[in-house]
Amino acid sequence: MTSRTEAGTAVQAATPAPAARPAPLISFRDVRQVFRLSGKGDGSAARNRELVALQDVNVDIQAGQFVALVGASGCGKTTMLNMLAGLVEPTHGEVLLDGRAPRLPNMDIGYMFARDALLPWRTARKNVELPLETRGWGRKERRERAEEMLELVGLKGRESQYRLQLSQGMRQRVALARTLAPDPSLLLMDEPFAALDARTKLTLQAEFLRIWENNQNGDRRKTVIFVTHDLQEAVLLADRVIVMLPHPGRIAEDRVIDLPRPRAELLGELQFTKEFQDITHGLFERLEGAIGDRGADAAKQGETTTP
Amino acid sequence: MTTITETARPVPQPAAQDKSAERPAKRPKFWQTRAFIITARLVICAAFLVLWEVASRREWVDPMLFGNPTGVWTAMVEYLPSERSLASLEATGGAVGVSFVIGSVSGTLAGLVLGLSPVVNGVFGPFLAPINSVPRIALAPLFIAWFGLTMTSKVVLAVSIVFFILAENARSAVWSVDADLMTMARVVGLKRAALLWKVVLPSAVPTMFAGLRLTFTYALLGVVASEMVAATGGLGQDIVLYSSSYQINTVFAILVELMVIAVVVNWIFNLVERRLLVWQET
Repeated sequence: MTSRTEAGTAVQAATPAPAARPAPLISFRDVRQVFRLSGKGDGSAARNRELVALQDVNVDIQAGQFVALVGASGCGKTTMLNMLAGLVEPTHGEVLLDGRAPRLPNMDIGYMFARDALLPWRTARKNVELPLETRGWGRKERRERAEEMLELVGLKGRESQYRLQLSQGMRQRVALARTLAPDPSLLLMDEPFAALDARTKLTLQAEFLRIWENNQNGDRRKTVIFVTHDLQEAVLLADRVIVMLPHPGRIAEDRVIDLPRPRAELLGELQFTKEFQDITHGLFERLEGAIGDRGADAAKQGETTTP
Repeated sequence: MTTITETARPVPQPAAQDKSAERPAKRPKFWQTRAFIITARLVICAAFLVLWEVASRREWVDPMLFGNPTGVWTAMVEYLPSERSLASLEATGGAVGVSFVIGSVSGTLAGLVLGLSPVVNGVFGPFLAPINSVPRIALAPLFIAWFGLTMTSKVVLAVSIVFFILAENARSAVWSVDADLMTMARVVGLKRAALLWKVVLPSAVPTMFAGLRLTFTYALLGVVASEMVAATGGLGQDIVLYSSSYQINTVFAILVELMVIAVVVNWIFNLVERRLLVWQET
């Protein structure tokens, strides 16, 4: 492991130089994240293993952008989301959200998980109301908002059903409604559609995109950080795709996707256009090529042993 | 927003009908029917009672020691409504009720505190398992010596069983709250009391309920055992008394009574549980 004394000398090539743009909403500066794995103690070498989850991450994200983080598991994408939510603090470097270190809880954030994380003892409607409760909404407003949101995600008539009575896809819809209900300005999405079958996934992607593309409070849309391991999904949905590689988690490619918007109604066809396939193909080589060549070596490097 | 491609489970599907139509030959064999199973149960019970009766009458077994069903029935009719029996029932039932309430409330609270506070658990947690592994019946003479032949000594014994079971139960219920739910709750902004009330407690309810159901039986056990060691009254005392005077049929009558109490209470638990945990139904 290279000991890094001079911050910022390493891989910055991938990050586009922040020109004379407005101050970014989000910036990661020289972020490095190390997790200690407690060894089982059967040999001295097995102890104190460190896992470098993120290495030299430098990213700026403008407000209103839809950014997808793509990569295999172990590349630190979820760690980046957790940093923005204030759940994890970087070991080194800094994460800025609106000029400050993220703190928990942040009422301007909506966080959606791969697993629905619905409270099973609450009905769909009461689940959607949960974030409104912590934001001090009145009973009547909560109820109206929750019903409105459930209708928006296509669950009208299911308001009083419990989690176990809903299908996987419906649960993710409720989770989506819950995430969107308090109208957060930043959406953190952690593989929100990964657990769904292909068909349901496409439907939900389109619905989410439609909601997002239609929702322009005044001048800009919500900022979205969308974590996924599915490259197609990333290119399909995002304005900008950041490709990450594991062991140690790092950024390999940062690319603007200039497919036309709004796309919600075109998702099905868009996948088969040459433009889309060219972009996806290029990024695929970057993603898989790097793993194929150096995956094994890099995997060893990622977990170092400190005696 | 018109396209809903998924369907929920409770919605009846035409597909389900097709399926049964495809395989009409799949009728249950007669020994798989409900009627057969119930009949089998009744036959087995009746056969057992008849065998017992015959064995006792023909003196294959000593009727003095083993009684017989008709004798048990007579004992039930004569003894159970008697004043002595009702007084015993009241003594035992009262002690069980009091110890169940005290033990479950205090045990659950202690378990919640242990589960929520790593410090409290660090200090007291390690004592839980060793104390809980002491056979509590062995403490009955001690409690009787300390509190005399009173209801208190029965209650203390039963509480000492119920408390520790529920404390461990509630602690593990808190610990096993889904990590995803906790992360979600923190991001959403739930803190302290709200987090406890809206996430931790509701998700602990199913586990705690299973514990409560179990501990009622233990409360009954503790009280009856304490009465058997020494008491001024109660069903446990009666069992010892009638056993030592070879009134075996009366002993069986009391055992039946205890069983009925346990079954009825369990049935009440089922009702409450079903109301409380509607959301667990698919």
